[in-house]
Amino acid sequence: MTETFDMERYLGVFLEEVEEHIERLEENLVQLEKNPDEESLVQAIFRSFHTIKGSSSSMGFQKMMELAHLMENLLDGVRKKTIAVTPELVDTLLRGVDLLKFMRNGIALEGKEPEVETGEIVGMLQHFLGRREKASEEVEKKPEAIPKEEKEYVVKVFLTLDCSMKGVRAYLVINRLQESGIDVVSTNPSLTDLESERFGQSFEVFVRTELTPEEIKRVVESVAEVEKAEITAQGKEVLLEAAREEKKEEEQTRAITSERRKITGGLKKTVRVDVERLDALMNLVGELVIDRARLEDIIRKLQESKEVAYLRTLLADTTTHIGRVTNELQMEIMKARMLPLAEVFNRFPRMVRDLARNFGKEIDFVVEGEDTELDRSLIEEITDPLIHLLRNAVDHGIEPPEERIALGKPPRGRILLKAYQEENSVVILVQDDGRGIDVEKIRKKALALGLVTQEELARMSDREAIEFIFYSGFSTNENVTDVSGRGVGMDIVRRNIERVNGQVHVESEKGKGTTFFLRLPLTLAIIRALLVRVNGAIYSIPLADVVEIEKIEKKNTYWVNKTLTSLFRGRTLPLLRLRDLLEGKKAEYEEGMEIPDVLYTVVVNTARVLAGLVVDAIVGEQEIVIKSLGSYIGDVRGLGGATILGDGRVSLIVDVASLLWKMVQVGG
Amino acid sequence: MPGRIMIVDDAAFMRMMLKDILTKNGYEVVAEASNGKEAVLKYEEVKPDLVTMDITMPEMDGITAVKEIKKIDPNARIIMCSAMGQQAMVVDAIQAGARDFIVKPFKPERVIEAVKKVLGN
Repeated sequence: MTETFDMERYLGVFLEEVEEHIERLEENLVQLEKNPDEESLVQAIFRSFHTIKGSSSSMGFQKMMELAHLMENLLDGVRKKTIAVTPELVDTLLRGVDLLKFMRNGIALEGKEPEVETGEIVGMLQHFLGRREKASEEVEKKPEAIPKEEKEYVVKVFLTLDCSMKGVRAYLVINRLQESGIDVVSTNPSLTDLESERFGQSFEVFVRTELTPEEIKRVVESVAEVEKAEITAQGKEVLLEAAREEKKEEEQTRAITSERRKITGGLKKTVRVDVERLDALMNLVGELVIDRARLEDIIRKLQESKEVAYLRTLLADTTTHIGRVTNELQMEIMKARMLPLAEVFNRFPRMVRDLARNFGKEIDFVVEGEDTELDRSLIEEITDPLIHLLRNAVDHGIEPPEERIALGKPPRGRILLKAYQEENSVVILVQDDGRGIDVEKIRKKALALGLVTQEELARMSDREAIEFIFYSGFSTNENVTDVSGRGVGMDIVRRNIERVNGQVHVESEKGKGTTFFLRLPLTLAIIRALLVRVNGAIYSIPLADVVEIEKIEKKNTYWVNKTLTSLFRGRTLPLLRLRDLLEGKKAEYEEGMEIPDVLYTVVVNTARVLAGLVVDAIVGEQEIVIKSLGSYIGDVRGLGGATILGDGRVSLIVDVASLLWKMVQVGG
Repeated sequence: MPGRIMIVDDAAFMRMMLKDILTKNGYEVVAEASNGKEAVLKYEEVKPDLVTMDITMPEMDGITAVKEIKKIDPNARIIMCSAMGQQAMVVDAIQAGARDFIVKPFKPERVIEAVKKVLGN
């Protein structure tokens, strides 16, 4: 039973690693097409195939291993410049990678290689390989197309009795083996133990190689302070058994791969942490943040009495300290939850390339700022919107080459995907230098769909009118293609982004191009909020939605269409009672109602609606930890969750977007 | 077959000791350098068959020197001379391309073994 468990753990690492390599392969292959002479790329691609070959073979996934091996050989040809990098070659390799991905996903689902026809791809790959072999026959006669030649061995290495720095010595031996093209499968004791010198005078290395035992022996014994090496041939079963046996084998392979990476050139150093564990930590930090607020509250109360001066100072000091610690902790945990955007960005060059080829567009796809980090849950949420935006850019944005030339533009279009941090948010922009959005068309369509009246439309600037594309069912594209233009998409983009407290907006110039801006919070768990009192309870309004807090005097209000409004930066601001909004009642002031002399108003702007929420009092601004309302309450329109205040009271968090949505529904 | 060796160490005493060990065993010490920078310059000049490289040195440390020399000559054969406790740096040096290492205090037979193995004789 333990064995299956261990095997499963082993499989997990395998799948994860293969997935990583597949992603990297897609990215690197697309790059290679642009820079066929970039040797570091060729090396990186070669290594990825090599690693996939090695691990799939030790897992016993024969088809996958053969496929990876074929492609590795092709890359070897590229490396030796006997195979030229052509778009056709890249296409074929990418298809091969797709097949690897398919196999990997099949294995993930069923635990075994899926039934899949590899013949066509293998044939195509061999076709390229064949060309190369013909070309290089005279140069070197080293047929390496048959993976079956590789055999497994146990290499027992004996160090001299007075050997110093045994750990580094072992490392050097393993390094030397790998340098000589020998696959190191695992070690006994584990690599970690070897490096920390937890072994006697000898250790074992399990290897897979085409070299003969004599050659392996020579390689190992070329290292100083190695007394001797004993090589024993192993069947695959035995080798696998040996690999499974050790409880730590997962770490070993991981360590070896990570070592190999260190050697073969700087990939990022990462630690995998279960997201749930991070969530739990974040939760604890949240509790601390609440405690901090509670302490501050106590101090405030203490400050009113005078006898407890000493206690007060003590408490204040402690609070300051806790404040500092929680701040740091909060930052650290937040950072731990952060992932570089490269995690999603890296998938796009491949996608854009394929789409461009599909649509007959020529596109330079530029990615910038992929190191910018974002909370991992956010990264998941923005993937689909970004796919939509990029597809649109390729399909609708960039013109076909002939059209561009006729317009006096360079034939190759340019799409820029860029991320950067701005204060407490991350901005991602998708920019193309294509057609741009035709605002006139949008105005007409909006009118036709009855989204606006003639007068309203006349008052709208182009910038405002263009935002209609985010309405559901809105599309100005006449010809429907298989990826976009069905009138869905942009509203989904907006919904997804707003769901995570982000904002989306668009700028476009006809004939010049379009830029979409996504503004996202750094994290979802803790936000700054404005605390307001309504009906005796304290509500939290996310600061991201708040434009300004206004104290509006009765004499500065006006009746427009029988509802009370005020002027805000030259725009009409409808005044709505938050108390009634929350209860789902009509919230506008009507003629005949008693209007207070002063209206404490929170001006919010979200979902393209500007509104003034009238509250009983403004309490303050504070960092709050978002807690979900729990599944038994579920989604409540107008509420985004709850938080616990310093004095222990629960405060409901107002979800302004859905609240105003409701207003639009109720009001008209 | 003996070879031509360059010794790099900031301590004159260490250089002397190594030189004695090597010459007694038939190797020719063709150059000496007291820091990494000097080592890189002299390497280009004398093209030795093998270099013994100290790790901690002024001007340019041994690991950087290994990287620089490897740029000039990817086939350069370099043995690191390490003190106890420098494990991590030795690993760095190996990653940078050093072929082997010896640990101070030097035992003549260990020095010779390493040199022999690296030179393949």
